[in-house]
Amino acid sequence: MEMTLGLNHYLILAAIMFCIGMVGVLTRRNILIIFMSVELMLNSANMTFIAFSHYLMNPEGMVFTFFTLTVAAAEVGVGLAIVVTIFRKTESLDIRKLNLLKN
Amino acid sequence: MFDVASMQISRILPEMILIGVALVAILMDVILPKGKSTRGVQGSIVVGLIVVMAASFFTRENTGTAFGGMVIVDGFTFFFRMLLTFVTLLIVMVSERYIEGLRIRIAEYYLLLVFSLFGMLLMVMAQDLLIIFLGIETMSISLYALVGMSRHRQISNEGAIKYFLLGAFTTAFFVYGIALMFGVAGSTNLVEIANYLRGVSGSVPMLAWAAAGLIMVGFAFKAALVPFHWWSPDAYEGAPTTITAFMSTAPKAAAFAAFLRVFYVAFGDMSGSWTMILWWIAVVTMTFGNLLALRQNSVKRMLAFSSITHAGYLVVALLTFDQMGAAAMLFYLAMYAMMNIGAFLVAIAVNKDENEGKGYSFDDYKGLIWRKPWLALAMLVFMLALAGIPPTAGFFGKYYIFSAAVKSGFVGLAVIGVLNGAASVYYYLRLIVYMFLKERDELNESPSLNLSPSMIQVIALCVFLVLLVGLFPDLLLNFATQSVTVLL
Repeated sequence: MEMTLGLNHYLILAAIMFCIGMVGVLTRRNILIIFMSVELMLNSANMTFIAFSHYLMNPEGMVFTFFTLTVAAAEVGVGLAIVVTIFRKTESLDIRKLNLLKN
Repeated sequence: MFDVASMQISRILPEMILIGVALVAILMDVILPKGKSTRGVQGSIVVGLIVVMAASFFTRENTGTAFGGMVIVDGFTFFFRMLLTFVTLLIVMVSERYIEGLRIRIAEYYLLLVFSLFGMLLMVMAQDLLIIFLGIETMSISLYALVGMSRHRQISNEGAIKYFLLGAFTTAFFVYGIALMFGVAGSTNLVEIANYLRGVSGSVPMLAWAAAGLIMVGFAFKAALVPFHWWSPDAYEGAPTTITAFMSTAPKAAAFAAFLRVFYVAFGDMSGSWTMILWWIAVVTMTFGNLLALRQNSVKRMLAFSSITHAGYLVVALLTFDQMGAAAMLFYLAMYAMMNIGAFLVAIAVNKDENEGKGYSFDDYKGLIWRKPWLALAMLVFMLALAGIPPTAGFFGKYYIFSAAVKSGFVGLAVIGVLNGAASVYYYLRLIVYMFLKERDELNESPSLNLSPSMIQVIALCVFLVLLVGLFPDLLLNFATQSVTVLL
């Protein structure tokens, strides 16, 4: 039996990446790791886009990926600035130490 | 094949003016001497926003799509352009003295407000999920920075980081949802998605359900619906109060507008199932917001939690899926913006201690009627409006929403909504009791109320609009009904 990589393989891989990212966000305590997990989730969405784009012969999906990447870069810019201000105050990146605002 | 005329650039004239305003304001900050730059930036943005409103008003007949169907300018867009620009204008006008007190560098604050407004305007005219995504992100990234604006307060940093992490987290859900929808329907355009779903009606693939669900999560987060509300109390409390007033009104309105357009235009054929989900979201959002607001001893937190409840009422309007419900939602969004901004401004004026964990206490309001009668009366109007008591606009807002729900057959939901409205009266009236019936407490009094003339004007304007629409609700309702006819 011949094994070729089809659309489903890419989609399943992307879904797995998305889940890993989600678990990372929910379980990790370090702000930067949480942030990396979010990026992993975004990249899994990008991969889905590209896989579909290739499969459907429709370049729109690839174009969308460029926008996602750009937005993610802008988000990192603001996000890291916030992280820096936090680190200056608390000298820690542990999300659990941020408890001034109690729910 | 490709020519500029077919892109219909003139239809996005207000947005182009807005970006021009932002660029001029950046230049002002650099060019003007240190002492004068604040006034220059603020003044140019106030004038600019008025021009944007005028431009949207005079080009309101120029409707249709632009950029090859990526954006659509119609009555619905016009309503939200006016509302969102007006709300931003109010916030820009009142901020000056308050943010100086917080030692916030001035120009960036105003510029971020303008960029965030630009993102919201993109959201309300988007006809493609790509544009909605870009709009949401432009709005949110500006808001992350605005929440964290008062850098020396840890509470502000904390609110910003929580908002940011959860915001980025749900953005990932949103983008993944769009990716799946693209795969299923072959396009991210709302009209083409609708055509596709109509074509396969009855046998919508699983992947499309998953996509719609993920996209719904994204909107639910931006509109702070339970169970995607965790960020909102923290972000609202950490943010400078003017930004809290802004965040609980304008971005929420923009999120609901985009939500409405996506689910009515694109996913209309799947409505049977998503109304079921929204039914539950509406119930828990209304109830949960109320339960949390009941226990608060800080006016700022009380208003923040009650804004969750109000989002629940808006979901009731959303899921009726008819013209009456959509019009009721627009009406409520507009009037909620006026009463909530008014209430937050009075809270700023009365508050005396901006430090962490303190301030905005109910105790500050003891006997306010004897000290500042006009301020207390204004707060009375806002509290009655938020509680939905006539003759304020809040009453008609709730009335239209729940009668639309009954008319569409959601009687149970309307009953739960009315009961929640009754429960919310408790904490709004509690503040009124503090203001009018409690003894004046000399020890607790603030030496000076930080009221600036522009703040008094804006509070008066909000009172006027809330009462005017309360007495003549048809003025706004007709406008709202006209605006939603394009969707259904």
